[in-house]
Amino acid sequence: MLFVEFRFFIFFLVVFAVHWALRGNTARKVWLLACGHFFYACFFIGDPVEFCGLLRDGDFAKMPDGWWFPAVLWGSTIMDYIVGRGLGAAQSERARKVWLLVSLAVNLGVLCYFKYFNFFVTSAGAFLDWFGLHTSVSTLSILLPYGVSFYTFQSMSYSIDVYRRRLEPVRSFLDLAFFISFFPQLVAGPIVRAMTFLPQVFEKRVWASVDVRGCCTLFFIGFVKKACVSEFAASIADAFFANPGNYTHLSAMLGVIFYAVQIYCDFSGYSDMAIASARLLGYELTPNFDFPYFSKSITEFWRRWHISLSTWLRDYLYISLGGNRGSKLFTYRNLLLTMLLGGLWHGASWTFVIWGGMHGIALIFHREWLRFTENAGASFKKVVAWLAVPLTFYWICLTWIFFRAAPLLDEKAGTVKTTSLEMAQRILGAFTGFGKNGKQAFGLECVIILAVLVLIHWLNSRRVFSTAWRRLPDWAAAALLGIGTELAILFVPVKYKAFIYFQF
Amino acid sequence: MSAHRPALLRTTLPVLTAFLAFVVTAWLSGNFLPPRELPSAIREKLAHLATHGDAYDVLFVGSSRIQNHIIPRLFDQLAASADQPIQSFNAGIPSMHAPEVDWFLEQILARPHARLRWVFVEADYFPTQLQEDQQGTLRGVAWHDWPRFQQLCQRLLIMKKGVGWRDQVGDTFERLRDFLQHLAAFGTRATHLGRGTQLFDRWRLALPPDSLNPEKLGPNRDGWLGANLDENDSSARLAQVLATRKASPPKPQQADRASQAALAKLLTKITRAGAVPIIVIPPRARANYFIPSPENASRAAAVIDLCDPRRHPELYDLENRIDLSHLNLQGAEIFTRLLAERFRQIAPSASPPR
Repeated sequence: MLFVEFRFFIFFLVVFAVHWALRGNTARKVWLLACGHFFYACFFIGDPVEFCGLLRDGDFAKMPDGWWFPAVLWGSTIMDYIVGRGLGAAQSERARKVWLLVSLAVNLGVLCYFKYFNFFVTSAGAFLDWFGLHTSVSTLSILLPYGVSFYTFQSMSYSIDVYRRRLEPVRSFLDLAFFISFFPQLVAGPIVRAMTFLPQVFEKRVWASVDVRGCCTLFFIGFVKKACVSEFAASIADAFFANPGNYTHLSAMLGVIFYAVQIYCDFSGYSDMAIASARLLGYELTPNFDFPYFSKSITEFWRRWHISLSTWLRDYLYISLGGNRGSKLFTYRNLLLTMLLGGLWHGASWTFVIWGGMHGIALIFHREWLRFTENAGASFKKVVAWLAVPLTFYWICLTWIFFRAAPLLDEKAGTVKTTSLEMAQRILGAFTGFGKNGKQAFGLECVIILAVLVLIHWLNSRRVFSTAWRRLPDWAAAALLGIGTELAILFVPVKYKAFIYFQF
Repeated sequence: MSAHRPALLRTTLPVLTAFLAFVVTAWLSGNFLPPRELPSAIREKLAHLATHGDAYDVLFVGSSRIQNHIIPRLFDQLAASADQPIQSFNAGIPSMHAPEVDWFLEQILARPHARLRWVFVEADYFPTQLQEDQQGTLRGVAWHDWPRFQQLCQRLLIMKKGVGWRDQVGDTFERLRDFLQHLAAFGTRATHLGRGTQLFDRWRLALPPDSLNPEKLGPNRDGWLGANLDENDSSARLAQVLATRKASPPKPQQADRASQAALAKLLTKITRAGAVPIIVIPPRARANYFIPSPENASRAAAVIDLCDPRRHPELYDLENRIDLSHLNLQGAEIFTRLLAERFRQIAPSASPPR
């Protein structure tokens, strides 16, 4: 059930109406907990009516693959609840550490099993082969439960915060279960911390505090980003990434830039819709994006891109590794490790590790650059300020190539014709102009559309639209939203691609 | 209470304004945008009738049981040999049931049909579920207009009777799911979802409009297409079911009032177009089959019921069938002959006034 699908609107309408119709806070939480699990189950069970029929008949053989994945979510929640209680009751530091280790081991174990088992096994096999120790590696047929990377990080944030004594362990299992399974952020974030969300759970939400107009506007923006812009950008990017060598240098650059547009609009659009849906239910989620492509450095980029993940990695990984409380080399090691693991979090592939590594190196380079240009003249700094945004964006585009590169499959033989790394190399060659380029080109309309998108985005970053929007009376804003929604519907694809971050 | 009222009004009024603006924009878009393309097979048959519609005296309308089973060329020959020179066209489309068939007939009658005198319509149940192969497709969207959606809603409100509460609950959920599927298709049509993208892509990629595939009109270009032999059932199982059916023939069922109402609508449309409706019941091997109510039967010139293994055992012979619902070429020829024979008896007495 995607946020842009018709069935989500029906689902949300029912959830919203019942939520505000219920009087008690506990009743509302129970309702939202049930809705969260239903929402999550919808990704795996197919047609709910048919699934109930199969369940009633006990016909487990006919059930869709992964129908039991919601049990993993329950398991993770129960375990973290027990860990939280254990941490609260533990008398010694040693016991607290043991409880925390249990939480980390189980959460990371679940993540490793579902996401990284085959990756580690095949990588180890290749590594041994490299040393001349030939092994026959067998992988498991494992499906990845949607959102596992997101909800395990959320669960871990609870255990770690309770361990760090920043948060009291929750007494009610309902509160924790509700926090982890709150559907707007369940499958693709933003990664909400227990510390910021749980206090909201304890208090009854008040309808009067909901900014309906703001929420509808934000949802509409998210919808347009995902359904119209991202899907259009995907059609250009997909064409290029499938045959990178066929395109001219300029079109190759356009293909990669459109991928940058696609992934930004896809993920930030999802986040906008998630935040808006949560706000309509009275809950506040962490903001996730802040015009990241206008960043003047990679450091700034990571303060503006996937904010909930970057701050999570900073607070729970980078700082745990020692942060910058040591020598320069020690800090750089921590930075690189954090980014490498951040890359690996996105997917079990070496291309993601390289993507993380490129960002880590860029972060280190930026720190050094700041030190190097500390005493530079004002005119030099002015020139650099002008070049900073395009240079940062160019580097980000280079990293996206590794992020997007997918293996080329021989569908008939069921084998890999070209690996992700080889594909990335080809794309990199076409993008930089140092590799093979062809004669195929995207039309001028693509350039015009890109220019219009950049202009709108820039004006939006200058708050031009939001200021004008706030001045409008409610009726005019409502009418414009109605007109805008219909116009947006005209430009959506009939079949959507799943959100990119669902796979993580 | 009075304090709540303005707050409620403050929320409700903008919501209503937004909805109104949405509906008006959708309506305007519908008027400005070129019409959606029609789905394959339907497109070819309607295009053919748009240019040759005036040439036909007889039309056959219904599902694959009409498309596969009635061979117009043979039908015309048999009629001609009985001094009834006519030209017929098979407008049957696979999986076309009520209310889609109602929409399709409307499209046919909107095209030239000066000589049309008889329309054979298949009597069939009105299913509640949107078939899987129509979900999210051009075809599924094409016929979900307001009149058809209303018919669907009426059908969905008719619940099963005489079943336990568990089945009642299950049935309610099924209806709800079916309703949402139809609502999605209706919404897609009403809001013109994705039309802008389609037109923009067509312009951007310089795509030609979907061409007409003459193969969809069949080998004789008269709308008849033989059943697909790839879908042949295993003969052992099929033989077993056919033998059972011969021993205990399918039971006629008037079914629900929505199915009868849908049939009545079809019959009225045909009559209003100046033609005579004839109801056909093809041979099926299920336990039950749909028959028109006495009122509907009286609206038609005749009800040709071929779903009786005792009267037409040849239609239930294994060598004439490919599955429980469809006949093979040999079976189709027998079926067409039986139909032509009945038509010979009906036609002179049922000629519409000209």
